Amino acid sequence: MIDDPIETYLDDLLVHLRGSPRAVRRVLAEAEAHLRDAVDAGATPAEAVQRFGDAREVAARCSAQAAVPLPAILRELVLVIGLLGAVGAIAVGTSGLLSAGLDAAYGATFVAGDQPTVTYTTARCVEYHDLAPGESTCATAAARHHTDEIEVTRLATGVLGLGALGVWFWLERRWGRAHWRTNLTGAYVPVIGTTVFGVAALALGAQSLQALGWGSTNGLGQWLSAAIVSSVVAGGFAVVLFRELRRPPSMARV
Amino acid sequence: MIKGHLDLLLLSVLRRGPQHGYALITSLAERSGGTFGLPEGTVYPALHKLESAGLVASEWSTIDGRKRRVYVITDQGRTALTAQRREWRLFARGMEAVLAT
Repeated sequence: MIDDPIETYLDDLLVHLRGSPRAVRRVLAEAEAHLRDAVDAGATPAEAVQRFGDAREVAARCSAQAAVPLPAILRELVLVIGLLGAVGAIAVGTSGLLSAGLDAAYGATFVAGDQPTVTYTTARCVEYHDLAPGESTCATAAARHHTDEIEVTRLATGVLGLGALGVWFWLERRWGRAHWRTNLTGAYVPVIGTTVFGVAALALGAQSLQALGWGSTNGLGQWLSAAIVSSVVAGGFAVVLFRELRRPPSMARV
Repeated sequence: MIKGHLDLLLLSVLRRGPQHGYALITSLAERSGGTFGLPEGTVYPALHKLESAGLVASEWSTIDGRKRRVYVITDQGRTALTAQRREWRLFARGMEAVLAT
């Protein structure tokens, strides 16, 4: 197959153009009509392309006219940060549910109990008994109080996350058909999600191992529940990232 | 040097009637006697900028079986052209006066 300089040039132009799909299609259509007109007027395809100018330079000038408006950038940032924040808050809520499950299965000491070497002042002991009247010792009262705190705080965060996710879906539907998309799309969100939740999973896993290293399972549940949920969320983002990376780039020359 | 005056040149050509990109560039080259040999592709972003500013309008049209974007000067564009021509003539007269001395 003989390579047509005009087709090659239009491919180059497409690769370098930035802007809304409509703006890109318009520039391409105008460029093709111009180049074909030049050939009809007697120029060779190579001459027509040479006279039209370097594809990168033409694309840069056209893209400068098509800079993304500030409101579109703000909308995209709100959507990206909102999604990551909502997923994070829901993950915290899920770890609260898991903590409650561990509490039911292994007791409050496993979730948030202090190490056996920890001692309590009399005043502190009285305070813990006031907060957890059903417990027989200072240590179990402290564990119950801290476990309740962890569960309630995390579950409340999860409820806020669900609310935030609802708002996100509403905004996404409202703004999703926007004419503009910024560069902050595609793989960026799953990269951030995989990184943030992956690092959190590693740190929380290390904290769990450290708790085990103290020679007792006291307090292990609070770290373990968070590490498990972070790992699952990081894995989910990694799957999305992998799928995104397998897709050919939208402006690729094939 | 032509870049700074491309808007004026394009508006001036369009003042004579609607044109699509290729015809506009051909007119510009013919009327300038081949003086303005700028890369032809750079005219389109200039036209798009003029359209964003409301100085020209455009629409798709099929001419000789080929789809083309046809540009037409607006009233706002004519006003801007008049002002820019006046400025250019003042500038050219001043330059000429200085260079002649």
